[in-house]
Amino acid sequence: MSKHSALNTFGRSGNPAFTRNFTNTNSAPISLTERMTLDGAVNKTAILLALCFGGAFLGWNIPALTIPGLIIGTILAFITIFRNPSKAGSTAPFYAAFEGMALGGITMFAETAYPGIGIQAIGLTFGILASLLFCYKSGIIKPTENFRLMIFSATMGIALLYLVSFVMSFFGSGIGFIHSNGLFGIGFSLFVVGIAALNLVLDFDFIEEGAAQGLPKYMEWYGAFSLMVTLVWLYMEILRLLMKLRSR
Amino acid sequence: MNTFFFSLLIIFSLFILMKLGKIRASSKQTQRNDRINWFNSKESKDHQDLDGSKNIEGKPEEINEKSL
Repeated sequence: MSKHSALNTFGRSGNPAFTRNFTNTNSAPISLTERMTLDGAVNKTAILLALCFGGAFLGWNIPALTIPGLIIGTILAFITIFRNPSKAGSTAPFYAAFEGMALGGITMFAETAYPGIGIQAIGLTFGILASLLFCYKSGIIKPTENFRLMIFSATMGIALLYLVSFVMSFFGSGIGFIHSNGLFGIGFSLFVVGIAALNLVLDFDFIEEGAAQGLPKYMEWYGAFSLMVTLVWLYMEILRLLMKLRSR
Repeated sequence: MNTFFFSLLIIFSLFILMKLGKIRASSKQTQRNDRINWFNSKESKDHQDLDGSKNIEGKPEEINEKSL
């Protein structure tokens, strides 16, 4: 299977939000004010982050909202991914708020067991975000088609492993090393954190290229949503990794 | 101390995101021939052609005087 046929078959990104074709089928030209910009995408990311923190505050104080937040957030994520990207502006803010509720509750439970772990996980997540943004903007990390294919394959592999583990848990079984705090379990978590972090580079490239190509304004919401999906995943994996390290 | 350090890290990182995120990437990043073609744009395909990395499938034919 050649590189390009593999890309066409399995999609073009590690992030599921980017596996769609965004070719502009509308032949009407887009005016300058209706085009995607870097400013707009960053501002919308800030709005989603603020909503996520607001939701987390609620989830922290009312832990009963954790599971509903997780379920509704996941449903909203799938709706945003599979619906027309032009509607992302109406679903992405709700996704951020509900996912924030889930993260707030999960962090509260983790904080009860391991005090101080929440602020460490948030700090590391944003630290990785800022350092990778610097590496991307300065050209230290240069994403290519091969890079994207590699990240996509690894992300799908991890998703499949989690799915199998989740299904097996209903039958009283599971893939032990994923959740263990042994050397192999920590190594696996480190690998997953690495893949989640590298997905951020793809998000940056998507937003940068979208702004350069002058995509429609609503793609700012879509780019910000994709960044949020990756950030939420990265935060969860860092929290898991820290919990494994602290439980040793 | 732990909370103070990580709180500073969060504030600094958010500041970087808000400032650096709005600046265009360096020319080292944007002016490459092997950039990801997110939107199947013609420009990127032209880059591929110039790069010589485009795959041509099928049996090659010999060019001779008759074919010209």
